[in-house]
Formats: sequence, structure tokens, C-alpha cells
Amino acid sequence: MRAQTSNKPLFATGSTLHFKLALCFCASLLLLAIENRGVMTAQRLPFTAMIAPIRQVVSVPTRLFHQLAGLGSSQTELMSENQRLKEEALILRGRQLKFEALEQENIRLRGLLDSTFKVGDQVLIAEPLAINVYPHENLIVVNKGSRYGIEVGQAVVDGNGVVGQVLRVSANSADVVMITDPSHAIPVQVNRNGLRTIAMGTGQTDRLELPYLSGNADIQPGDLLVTSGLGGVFPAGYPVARVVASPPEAAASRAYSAAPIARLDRNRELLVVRSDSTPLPRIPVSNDPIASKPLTNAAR
Amino acid sequence: MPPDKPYEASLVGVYGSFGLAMALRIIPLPPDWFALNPDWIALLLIYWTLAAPDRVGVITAWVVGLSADALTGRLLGQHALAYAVMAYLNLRVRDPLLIFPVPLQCLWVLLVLLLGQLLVLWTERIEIADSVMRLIYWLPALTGALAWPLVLWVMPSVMRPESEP
Repeated sequence: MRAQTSNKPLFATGSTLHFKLALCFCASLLLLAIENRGVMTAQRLPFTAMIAPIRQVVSVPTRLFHQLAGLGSSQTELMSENQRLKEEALILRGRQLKFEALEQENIRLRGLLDSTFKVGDQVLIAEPLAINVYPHENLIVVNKGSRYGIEVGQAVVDGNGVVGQVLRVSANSADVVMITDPSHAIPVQVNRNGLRTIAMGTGQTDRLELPYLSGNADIQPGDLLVTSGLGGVFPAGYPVARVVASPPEAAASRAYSAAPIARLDRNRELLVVRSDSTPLPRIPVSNDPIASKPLTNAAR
Repeated sequence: MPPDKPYEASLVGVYGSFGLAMALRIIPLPPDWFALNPDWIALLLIYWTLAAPDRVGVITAWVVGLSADALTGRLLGQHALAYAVMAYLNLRVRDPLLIFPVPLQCLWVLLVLLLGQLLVLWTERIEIADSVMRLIYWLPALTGALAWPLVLWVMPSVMRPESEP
């Protein structure tokens, strides 16, 4: 115990060191217990505030690189991309016209059935920061937080399908856990026949697992899995994954696997779905809220 | 090798280097490489407990650990617990460690980093602990031990010699 008295101040030696260790040990266990039970979440705030600039700074070089790559692209590339995007926008606008008519019809029919229905979730665009958080975990950090109204549990999608859900929120950033994280499960249903099941993450960004299926379940490779809306986190109807292959006959666990549709490892923009969007009125009023979105102006 | 005589470690040097280590901890590498990224914060902690024990002790390690928890999205207290124990062990064996040759120091660093990872795993939520219990989980300790000579080579430039009283 007296081994390190040689060149150190008196208070850092011997029993004081033991006392400090015991203090830190107990404090750590206390904090762990508190957070595991979810009693209080405010104790993270000073530390998230402290690390926020580090996360920002680390992601700057990658962002700069992407911007420089954008500067370097030639005019013909830009023109062809512009052309492609215009065509895509035209197709999407065409679908949107039909969608609005269908939506109104849906609301009218639901009105007849005396049930309310939420159509048209509000979304918020967020960009992922170019950082890794922790190995063996599929997390993304996005550059918007509670200041923009992001809350824990909101669903995150990209242009193709479901990406994940918000896990933690600070003032200016949010941690999003992807659907492929080993600790994540998402309630889905087969789009073809409505069969409901749960898709579990595997840790690989290109594979989900469907462990809870009976042996004679009607599912086949190529089936589209969409969110079922059960569980209350993910709104119903967003595409999640596509079943890739049936398990080998001899395998002990007959778990189907599915490939996520969202481009989990290389997306630049994400949409955070605001689940607190107010339900539309059952009988539509004359000026519907969907048509007043700025999207229709941008069409010209 | 950390200097035998206590150098004057400026506050800016200590906390600036910890900030840099935190940046290195979350650097955007491809996932396969990132799984090998050593825990730079722990390496610096080992360095500072040897080089400036009056400035970086158990309590500092604990606070740095809390920041590391927030940085890597762990439960608050996981890295704090591990780092406090690591700092304690280092302070206990500091005097023999300072005269060890570098390969022996690397071995010690390996043991300390393994213990730290074990403590983080021990306090992990069960569904996550289940998924990380593979051999590759322990590899950052090995790369960390291999990176120890690099730390010894880079870090003394942060310190300035103590002005003689």
C-alpha cells in the first residue's frame, strides 16, 4: 500500500486511492441502475453537450470531401443528372395526383365506416453525420435533434424504405438505431397476404431474420415486407425488406432472411416521420391540407 | 517511455489530447476496420496516469469515462467504471511500470485494456452483450497494445519540462 509514496502528493496515496476507487465504483453502479430503469434521463445532458462538437468536427472532413467531389463533377454529368431527376419528379408527380384522389376516397369511405384514419405523416429531413459510434452496433447519428421536434421512438425512413427508429435525442443531434441492429426488432407483415411476423436485426446491414414463422407459413422469396403498424412505433405500410431465400431444409432453425430495402449503409438524407401528426378530418373539407404543400409549386 | 521525472502537463495538453482521442474513437472507418480501432481514450488514460499522476487520477478517469459513455452511446457508467479501475491499477503499479522495457509495458497495456473491455461487457445490456460476445470483440485490446509505442512516441511532445523551482 505504501509502494508509490516516492514522488507523489500525499493525498493521492494509500487509502485515499482505495476510497476514490470505491466512490467511483459505487457511483458508476448507481448511474447504471438509474439509467437501466429509465428513472431519469437528464444526467446525460452535460456529457452529450460536451461531446457534440467532437462529433461535428469528426464528420467535417467526409462532408467536405463529398462537397469537393460535387464541385469536381463535370457539366455533362450534372446535366444528365438534372434530366434524370426531372423525369423522376414527373413520374412521382403523376403518382401523387392519383394518390390524392385515392386518399380523399379513402377518407370518405372511412367516414362512412365511422373510423378515423391517419394519412400523410409529417416528415423532417435530417442528414447523417459521418461518424462511427460503436463497433458491433448499427447506429447512425443525424444532425437534427429535439430542437427540431425529434423525439425518442420516431420512425426514420429514406426514399426506399424503413431505416430505423430514434434511440436517443440531444438538442442538436439524434442517435438512430437501424433495423439491422442485433437488438432491434420490427413488426412487419407480408404485403401479399397480410401475414404478420417480426423481423429481427442481425448486425449485418444487408440481412434481417424472420425467426417467428411456423413451418407451413405462406411466405416465399421475393415477398415484400411492410410495417404492420403494430407496436405503435412504425406507422403502417412502409416497405421494410424483401425476403431473399428460404432456409435449407435440413437447418435446425428454419428462419427466413430478408434484405432491407432502404440503403442503410450509404444514404445521405433521411426522413424522420413525425408520429404526432394530427389525424385528418373524416369528411374532407374543401381545401385539403395535402394540396397546400409546397411540393405542388415546385412542380412547375 | 514516459519520463521518469514528473513533467508539467498543462491542462490544455491533457484535455486537448483527450478530445483528440475521442475524435479518433469515432473516426469514420469502414465497419471491418472500425472493429479493430483501439480505444484511444483508454490508451491516453494509461499514459497520463503514468506521466502526470497528480493531474489524472481515478476521479478524472471516471469523468472521462462518462464522456466516453455519452460518445459511444453506452449506458452512463460503463466506461466510467472501467476507466476508474484501469486508472487505479496503473497508479498502484506506476513505479515498476516506469522502468519496464516497452514490450513489457505493451503486455501490461494489453491486460489493462482487456480488463476494461471485460468491465464494459459486464455492465452491458444483455441483448447487446449477447451479440458482441465474439472473438473480434477483444481485438481492439490487442491493437491498442500494439499502438502503445506510438502513444509513447507522440505524447511527450505535448508536455513541457517542469520548470526547476
